[in-house]
Amino acid sequence: MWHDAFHFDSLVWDGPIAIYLFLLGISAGSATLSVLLRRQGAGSESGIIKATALLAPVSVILGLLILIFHLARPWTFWKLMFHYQFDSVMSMGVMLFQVYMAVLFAWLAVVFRAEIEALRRRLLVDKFAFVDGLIGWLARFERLLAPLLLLLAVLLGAYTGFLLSALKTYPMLNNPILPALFLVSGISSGVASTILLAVTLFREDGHSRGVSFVHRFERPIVAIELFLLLCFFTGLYFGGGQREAAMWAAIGGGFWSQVFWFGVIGLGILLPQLLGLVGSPAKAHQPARLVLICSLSLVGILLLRYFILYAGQMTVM
Amino acid sequence: MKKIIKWLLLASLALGAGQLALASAQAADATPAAPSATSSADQAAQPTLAERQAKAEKKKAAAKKAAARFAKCEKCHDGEEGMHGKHGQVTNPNTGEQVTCTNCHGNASADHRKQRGGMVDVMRFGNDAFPLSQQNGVCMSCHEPDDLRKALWAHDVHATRISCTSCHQLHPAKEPMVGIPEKSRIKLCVDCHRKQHEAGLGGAVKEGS
Amino acid sequence: MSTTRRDFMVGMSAGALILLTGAPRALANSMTIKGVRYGMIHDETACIGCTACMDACREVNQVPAGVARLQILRSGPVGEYPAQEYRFFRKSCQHCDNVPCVHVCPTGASHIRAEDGIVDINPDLCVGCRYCLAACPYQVRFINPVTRVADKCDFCRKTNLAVGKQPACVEACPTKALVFGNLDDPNSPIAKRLVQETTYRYKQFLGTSPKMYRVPKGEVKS
Repeated sequence: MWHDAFHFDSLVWDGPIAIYLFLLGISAGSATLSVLLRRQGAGSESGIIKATALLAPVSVILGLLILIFHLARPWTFWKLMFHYQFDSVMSMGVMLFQVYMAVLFAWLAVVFRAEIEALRRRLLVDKFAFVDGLIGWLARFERLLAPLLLLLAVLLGAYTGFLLSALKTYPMLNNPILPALFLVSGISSGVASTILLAVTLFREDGHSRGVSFVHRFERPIVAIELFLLLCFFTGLYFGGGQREAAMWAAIGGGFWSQVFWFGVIGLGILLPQLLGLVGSPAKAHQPARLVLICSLSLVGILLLRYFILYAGQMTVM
Repeated sequence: MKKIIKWLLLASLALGAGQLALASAQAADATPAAPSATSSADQAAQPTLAERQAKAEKKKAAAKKAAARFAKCEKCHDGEEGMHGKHGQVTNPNTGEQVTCTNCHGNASADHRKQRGGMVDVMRFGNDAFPLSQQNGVCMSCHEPDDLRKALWAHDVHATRISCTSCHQLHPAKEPMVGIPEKSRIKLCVDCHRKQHEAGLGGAVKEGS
Repeated sequence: MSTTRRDFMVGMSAGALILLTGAPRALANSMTIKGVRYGMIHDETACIGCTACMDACREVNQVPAGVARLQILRSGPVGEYPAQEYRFFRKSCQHCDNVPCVHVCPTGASHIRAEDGIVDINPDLCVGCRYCLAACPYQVRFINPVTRVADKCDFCRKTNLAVGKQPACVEACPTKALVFGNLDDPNSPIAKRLVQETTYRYKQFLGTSPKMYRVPKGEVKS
């Protein structure tokens, strides 16, 4: 059963791509939330923003590395950055990545300006002093950088959806809901991953301003995600023909159907919500509980990526 | 409000768990039924050539007669006309004895060489002296269409159109079609169909033709 | 904002003149490309399923084992013995005019040639991302295990066509079930047959405008 679920004739993009989609969602989601949090006045002392400083660049770089080694000719990856095709979603994505990373690093440098300067002084004494000046100059544009990063992060979150929806071959993927679904799911993964890292690695209190702010996105985002999933499958059903066949094949029974219902919905959405409601309010923001709930959410989102990618490629137009 | 949501979520989880239990129970019910269904289906199907041959092996008690019959033809037809291939060793499922010359070529009279019109009571394969259905009918008295299809799909569309001996040769030790390499098989199709197409005879059956 | 009638007319004409001279790149999606557009007919009523075309393609283009540029898919038998019919379907690149695999390629390795309408792959630019494999609705592309780049039928552009011969599959067919030629030349054998016979194109509803035509045997399998 496992073998047939992961190996079938119409499969082209496999596991590593699902992981890449997941990592991109985390990067885009965490960057979006941190820009919004900074607007509330938070700075480099916030555990959430510290978590983003780690998550956003690392996850996008890791995702790209996975992608590069997934190529049939990994060492030719640089050609992607020197040849652009304006009707290829992937090529536009490559451009987007580069701009996103530049703006991300610039914004993070501005937010963590004091820390970077202190670190440089401690480790390098007088060398690379121009970096302080450079960051100072960038800080003048923070009012431009922040909304730009917000826009780029949202585009990046949606980009993975556009990438798959360009494929006419697969009726389940060739769907207008996919970019919206991936963006919302990405923000959800941003919420979960920033809270997870903030309360563990950065020992932030569960009641802090940052965690509360980000947490307030949780329920509306989950509601929107469920609604988008409803629109997605209803749209496939109404599409008839191969679209309807794809829907039944995906959620009507079999391995991927179980992954969806028990993994994505049960483990990733229902169980965290349930855990959030059960138990005393006093223990509500204990680190251990938050870690559990956030981890379950993240697992559910990863399973959603796997499900969309694999089940989506099962049925051909 | 929170309590209502809490109980709703608990109820849906319970429902999901119930569905899972139901689904696995149904799967457990379905699987034992499958093997028994296939075995009864096997018995209902026609026995293959191999099975019929095995059955005929048991009837081989009086196989001495075969040797005697062979000897009569061999008096004149020795050497390459002898049956050096597999058909010389297998058992005819219709008689229960070894395959003989007369099984395929018919009971020739003693002076068949001198017959008017040239050997009319000896079955000959691959020429127009005998109707195609009669020629191929000899082979198909043992070889059934289903078995032929399993060996190669192309038997289906050739069995009633050309003689079996167009491709098969039974007398040599090695039958050329057995284990034929793919390239040679393709050449066989191409050679004949190209000639046919150039002669304007039409290879495949056209709709309405 | 006000203008004189004269200025308006001058401005409009200048604008129209400029817009009429479009970029040559746009021709990739248009119908006629410099007068040559190669296409092919597979006559399913003449095809006998001998697979000589598959063998010839593999040999001439040195296609490695395990992958195929051309496949003949057999379906059937339909009907009762001895009146049984088989049907043979050619699976190979359709050389679409509205090419999904070209639209998705990030480096431009997958492209449609302006001189003859053949959809081809530039192996130097291909990084092997497999986007084109996923984008092709006919699923005829594969990663060549030897060169590690995307590969597919190219109408023998680099082999037979380059020396003035017909594609290998066309030459190998014993019943002349394959016809190859310039679709835009009304006097070519292929254009004449398209006018005379009923043909269909596979998955035409997707809007890919494939240049592989098929003469149906029995029900049209669109």
